[in-house]
Amino acid sequence: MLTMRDPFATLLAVQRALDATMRSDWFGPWVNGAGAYPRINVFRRGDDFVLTAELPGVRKEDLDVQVKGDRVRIRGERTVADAEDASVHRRERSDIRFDRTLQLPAEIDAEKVSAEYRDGVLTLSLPRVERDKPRTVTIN
Amino acid sequence: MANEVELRSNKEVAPVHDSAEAARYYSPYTDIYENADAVIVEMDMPGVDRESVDVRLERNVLSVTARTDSRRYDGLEPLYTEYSAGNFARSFTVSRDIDRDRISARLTDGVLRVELPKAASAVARRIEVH
Repeated sequence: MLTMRDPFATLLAVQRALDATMRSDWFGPWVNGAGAYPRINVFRRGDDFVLTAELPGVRKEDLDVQVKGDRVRIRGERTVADAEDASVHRRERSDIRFDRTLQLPAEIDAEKVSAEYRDGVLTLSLPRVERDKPRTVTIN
Repeated sequence: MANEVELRSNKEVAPVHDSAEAARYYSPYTDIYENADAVIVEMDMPGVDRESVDVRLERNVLSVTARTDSRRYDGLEPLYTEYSAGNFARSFTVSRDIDRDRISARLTDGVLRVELPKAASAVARRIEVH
């Protein structure tokens, strides 16, 4: 069987390393914690944040979410079906154990966080703490 | 170090037919394996609408498409994004005779599992080696 190595693998590895540097703590208050699994998106909804993560194949009982201060931690694992007694034609998915922490631009009110996990997508509603909300300044 | 996962993006594919939506189609990561009774296809499709999942077998080509609802992002302003949610589409040639009436598909936690039972006539004959 012929195995082909992706000719762009080295280039992509270099790009990823550069991206990791760009997203490091060096560059100010932003969402930090890039370069790990699962892939996440963070949105703003008014003053609050919404985080989504794609976690196909992870069961709800294998997923653990923690919030403290301005950090969100997502932990869990997923296993793919054991193909014993089976002949593999194609394997692109793998078992994954992950533990990822993200830093958000503001402190979160952990008491008011809500989480929904459906069809492999985790959605976290992350309200900002009152004292960290921006205040409008009136100009005299 | 535990399990280092290589991050890969889903490859974008051209949609099978032109549609009115602007949404993108991605190729889902797929495992295919075969046991004595069936060919099993498992695809990672997080966040798709169940009703939109379309599985069809036409002339030995298995085609799967599924769509996500972009309205779930209404009112949300992107701040930091690592992935682009979109639709999924992928096709495979199935090199076996399949009992079409018994094909089943199940979507669990964003993984679509399609079971293609082999037609009785298609079970491989074992060749005796003397």
